[in-house]
Amino acid sequence: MRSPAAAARIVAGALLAPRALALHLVIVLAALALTATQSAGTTDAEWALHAPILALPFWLPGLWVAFELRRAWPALGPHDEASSWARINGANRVGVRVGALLGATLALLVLQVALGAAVGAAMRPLARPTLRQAFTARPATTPTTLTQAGGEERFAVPALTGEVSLRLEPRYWFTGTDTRAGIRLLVFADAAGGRRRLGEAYLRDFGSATEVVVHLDGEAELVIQRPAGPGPVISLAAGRVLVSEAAGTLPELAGIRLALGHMGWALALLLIAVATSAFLSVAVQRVCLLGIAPILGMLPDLPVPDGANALRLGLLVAPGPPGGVALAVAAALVLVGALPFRGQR
Amino acid sequence: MIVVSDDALDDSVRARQISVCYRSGFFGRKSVRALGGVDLDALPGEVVGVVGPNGSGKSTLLRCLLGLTRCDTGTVTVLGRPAGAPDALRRIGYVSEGRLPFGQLTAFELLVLAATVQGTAVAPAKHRANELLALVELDQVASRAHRSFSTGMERRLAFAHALVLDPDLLVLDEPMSAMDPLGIDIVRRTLDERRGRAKTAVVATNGLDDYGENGFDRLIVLLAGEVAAAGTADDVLGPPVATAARRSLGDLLRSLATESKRT
Repeated sequence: MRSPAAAARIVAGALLAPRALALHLVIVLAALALTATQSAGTTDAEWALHAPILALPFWLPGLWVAFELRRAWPALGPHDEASSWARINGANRVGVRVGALLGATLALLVLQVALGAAVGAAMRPLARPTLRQAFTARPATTPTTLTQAGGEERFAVPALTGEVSLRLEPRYWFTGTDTRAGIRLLVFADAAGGRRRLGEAYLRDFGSATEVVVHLDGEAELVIQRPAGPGPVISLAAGRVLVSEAAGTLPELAGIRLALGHMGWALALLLIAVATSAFLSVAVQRVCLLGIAPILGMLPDLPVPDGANALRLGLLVAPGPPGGVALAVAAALVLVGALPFRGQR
Repeated sequence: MIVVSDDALDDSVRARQISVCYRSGFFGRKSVRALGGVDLDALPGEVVGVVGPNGSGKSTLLRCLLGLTRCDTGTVTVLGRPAGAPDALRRIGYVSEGRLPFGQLTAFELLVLAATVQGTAVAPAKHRANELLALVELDQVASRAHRSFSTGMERRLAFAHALVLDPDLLVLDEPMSAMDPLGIDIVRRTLDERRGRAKTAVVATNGLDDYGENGFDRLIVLLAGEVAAAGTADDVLGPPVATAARRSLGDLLRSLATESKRT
């Protein structure tokens, strides 16, 4: 076992110690308390509006792990308690950083999965479709576009009966208007007997995608309608619509998937924590992490770089709002801190 | 005058005219001199004592030998390499004045970690950890997190930690502080045993009595960062046969300080 393996094992061990798990239990209870505020009668749109608040507990493990990283392996910075120890014992500086990151990631994974399972279990009585839809049977199929006119788009879908999950990934055009306005989409089925409303989906902000579970009775045409109003111009036909049969999924699994959805920004935060350890004191680093975390949280699907995320990043940095400056500083810190520290007393 | 043969140079410790100033305040405008022109020699198999009152620069001198503190002037060669060279550090065991890191680890785990981080395979590392825990008589508490140890137990563990790879050089900063007589005896016997195998030690201490009559081959007395006296224990303290008892270290430091004030 060399430095990276030792660092990974010790960091994971410290972050999953009984005291840490007790604190995590408090986070889980907070998550459950928030979940309990939702009633079974909440519509999907209301649910989507409340989602950021409900998602708050999912942020906490990532933030906590990034905060505690240097306590778990106090040899990342030049003035950390064990920096002399690491130097004298010939610990590989780059390897130790990689190991610490791996250990923290492992701990974060365990904590998030436990949190997701707990929230999922708590959601079981509510039987929230929004949560159920988080885990759907694959593979998905792409329906054929029939027409696209005004705020309405028609698709031909396979003749399915039962619960079907629709993943709607529109293409956005930036118009310079309010880019963060939410968009509500109504989903209908056109059949011989007339138009039947299936459900509604909510695109939270610019660049986002959404899923909705609807019940089909073998209808072959799907109408997705966007009510008139302000917001960016979108097209589902130019983007992507996926149809897949919604499995009778365990809510616990859905909760886990929801929790793991927050791993992207949490990993980015961890990476920043490891990199900035090289030159920031613990206290200053924690303040920086608190400032950076909300900005990272605004970038969904962080691990998958795509045009939408690049645009979001650009929008944050270019006009020079405080968040943009912080993000630019964070990016610079990551670049500089990726180098192993060279400081010594 | 110490004569150093060329054969011994590679495994020796040599510091020449080293000076260290600690800077503080805004942009480091205040500076405090910690060491000024200090020389130190330790040949293979020697145990060299560095003594002096609190704040005299003992710990700084030791940190200079390890390359943990950068010298403003002077040169330090340790085991044939410049201070802080990774290949030399691998042959050094160090007991610092502070507590050991990773308090959440058990005593056993800490020793295994110290060995494995330096490339030892896990099985031999575990074997060595058990050996050392038996040596410092901590084997009964090997499975306890070491942050729960008393200061004396922690010092014993630190000593065992320094011995993990059976280093050629031990750099010990107050290794016996807060130790009980049993711990003191363990350190003393270990240093004697290592001396027989030509292993070197540089030890900073405030008291000489615990190390016994022949505990040190050479002593360096530091006062305010400068060498106030150096030589064999007899040179510095006076031979035991000349007086009923050697001067105590306290008497020596007091007289050296008085002389220093006069000059």
